[in-house]
Amino acid sequence: MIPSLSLLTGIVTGLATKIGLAYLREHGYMPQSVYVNKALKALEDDDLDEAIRNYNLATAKKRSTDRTEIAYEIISQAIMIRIDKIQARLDAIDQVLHPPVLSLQYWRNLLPRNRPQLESLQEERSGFEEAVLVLQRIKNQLSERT
Amino acid sequence: MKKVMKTTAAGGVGFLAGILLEQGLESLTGLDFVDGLFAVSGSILAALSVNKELVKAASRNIEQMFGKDPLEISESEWRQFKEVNPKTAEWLEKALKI
Repeated sequence: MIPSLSLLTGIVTGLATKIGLAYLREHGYMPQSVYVNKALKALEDDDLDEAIRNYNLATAKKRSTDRTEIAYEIISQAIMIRIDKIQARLDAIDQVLHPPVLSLQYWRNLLPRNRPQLESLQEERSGFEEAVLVLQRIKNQLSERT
Repeated sequence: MKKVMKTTAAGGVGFLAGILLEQGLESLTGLDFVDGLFAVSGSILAALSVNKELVKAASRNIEQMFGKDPLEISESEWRQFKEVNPKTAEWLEKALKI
């Protein structure tokens, strides 16, 4: 049983379309607004990596336009908001971990019963510091293209 | 009449064979053949809705920056936003005719 020529043509066309579209999509040949839209959708889903990947694809083959410049501002602002929030939390933790000498908190920190709480805050602080570094690295990836 | 019946039957068989083959190939290769068509129409839709998405994303940023609805921000807060995001603010002013 040999499939008819028209059937084979259909299959080959389907495959070629599929592969061709995937290639065009992955290499930034689709319309710029498609990537900008995807970047914004990814940002809405809190997927910064995907947002930046699509933003970079939007500017990979085409010149920057008003839309891409606005998307750049929106994405970098969204990252900065996250960094600021974490920084605020870091500052709050620092006030507890490193209070001014002779303040009430300073003496509280010297009590042995408060040590586990301070250690857990120290761990939390390291995690936040790491998060800030990651976010800054992500922001730098965005800046590279502009 | 006989010719029409014959053509219809051949068409039906071809259609079924096509579906079976497509399903078989899809399960073997993991490729979705119809996806190509949807990808094109999806791209057109995406291009059409990008302005709406820009407004939504900018509003979310304003909301996160000031902790309130974009409609409720004050003049000074708007100026603050404009300072950090000049392009976005200018574009929003044009789009929303502020």
